[in-house]
Amino acid sequence: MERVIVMLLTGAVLFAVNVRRMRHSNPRERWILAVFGVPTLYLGLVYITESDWPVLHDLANESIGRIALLLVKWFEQH
Amino acid sequence: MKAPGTQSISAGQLAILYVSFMVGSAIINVPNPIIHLAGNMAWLSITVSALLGMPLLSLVLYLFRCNPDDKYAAWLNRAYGRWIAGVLIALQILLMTILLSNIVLDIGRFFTNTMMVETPIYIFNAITIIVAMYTVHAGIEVMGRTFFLLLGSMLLAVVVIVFLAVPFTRVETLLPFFPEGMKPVLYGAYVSFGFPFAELILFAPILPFVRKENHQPVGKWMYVLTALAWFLQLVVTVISITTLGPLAGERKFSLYAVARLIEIGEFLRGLEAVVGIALISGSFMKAAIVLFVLNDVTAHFFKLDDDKLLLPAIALVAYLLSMTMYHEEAEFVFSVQAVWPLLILAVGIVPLMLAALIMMVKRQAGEGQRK
Repeated sequence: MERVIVMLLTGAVLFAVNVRRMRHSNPRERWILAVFGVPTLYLGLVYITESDWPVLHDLANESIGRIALLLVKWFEQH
Repeated sequence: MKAPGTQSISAGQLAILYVSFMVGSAIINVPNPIIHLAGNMAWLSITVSALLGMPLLSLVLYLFRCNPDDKYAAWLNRAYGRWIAGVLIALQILLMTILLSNIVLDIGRFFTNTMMVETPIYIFNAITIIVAMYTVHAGIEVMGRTFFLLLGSMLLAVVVIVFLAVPFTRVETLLPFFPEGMKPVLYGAYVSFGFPFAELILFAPILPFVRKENHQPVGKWMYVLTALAWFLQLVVTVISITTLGPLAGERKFSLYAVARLIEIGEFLRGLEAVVGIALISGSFMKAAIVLFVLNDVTAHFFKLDDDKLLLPAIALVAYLLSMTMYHEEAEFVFSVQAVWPLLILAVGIVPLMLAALIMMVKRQAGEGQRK
C-alpha cells in the first residue's frame, strides 16, 4: 500500500505542472503521451508488486553486458 | 518564461552547465571505484580517460560547427537519413533514461548510506526527480543562472575539504607505482572513461541553445573546462588516496569520508553534514541537465509543438526505473562499472563518430564539386 501511495503522490506532483498543457494539446500529442503510459504502467506494476520482471537495465545486461563481463574478467586477470 | 524552443544561453551559462554536468556527480562517486580498481595509480586512470575524452569533445564540436543552427536530432538526420537517425536517437533516449535513473538512485544511495540511513530511499529519489523536473520546466536559462550558486557552493566545499585535509595526508601512500602491473590502471581508465568523460557526448544537444554571437569561444572554453573537470577529479582522487590510505578504495563516497576526518580543535566538527549536502547538489545538477537533454531530444524525436508536454511522463518513468532497476548493490556496481562504459561507446560514441565521418566526406565531396 505504501508503494502505491508513493507512486501516486509522485505522479500527481509531477503531472500537476502539465494539466493546462494537456488541455491545450492536440490529439496526436495526447496519443504520444498515452504511449508513455505503457512503460509507466509496466514499471509501476513492477514497483508495486516487487516483481522480478525485466526492465531496461536487463535489456542492456543481456546484450552488451555479456561482452562487458568478458572485458572485466580480462582486466581482473593479473 | 519564454515560449518553448526560443530559449537561449550565453557562453558563460553553457560553461556553468558543462562543469556541473562533468564534475557534478563524478566528484563524489568517481574516486572510490577507481581507487578500488586501480589502487594508488587511480590518478593515472583518470588522466588516461580524460585524454581519451578530448577527441570526443573535438567530435562533438566538429558536428556543432557543421550544423550550428540545427538541433541535435538534425545532426544525425543529415548524416544518416531519417530512419537510421530515428533508430539511433531512440537508442540514445533509452541510454539517457538509464543514466538519469542511475543518478537519481545514486543520490538516494548517498543519503541512505551516509546521513539518513533509516529514511526509505524512495523519499530521496522522489524529491530529487520532482525538484529536477520543476527545474527543467523553468527552462535552460533559469538552470544556467541558478546552477551558478549551486556549482559555486559545491566547488567551495571541495576546496575547503581539500585544504583542511592536507594536514592528514601521507604522500608515501601514492607509492609504489604499478604494484600490480598495467591492467588495474586500464580497468580504472575504462570505468572513469565511461563515467564521466564519455558522457560529454550526451551534452551535445545543449550546444544549439548557445546564442549565435557566443558560438566562437564555445570550443576553446569546453576544452579548458574538460581539463578543469579532470584536474578536480585528479585532486580529489589524490587527496582520497593520501588521507585514507589503503582504505580509500573501500570507503564509499571518498570525499565525504575525507570530510569526516576533519576536526579543527574543539569547535569545528561534523563538517561532513554541510559538505555532504553541497557535494550531492552536484549530482542533482547533473540529474537536471540529463533530464533537460532527455526531454529535448524526446520532444524533437516525436516532433512535438510543446517541448515540455512529455517532461512529467519522462520524469515518472525515470523515477520508477530508479526504484526497480536493481535488486542488489552488486548489480548497480556491475552496471555502472562494467556495462555503462561499453553501452555509451556502442550507443553514443560510435554513431557520433560515424556521423562526423559522413559529414566530413560529404563536405569534402561538396567542395570537390565546387572546384
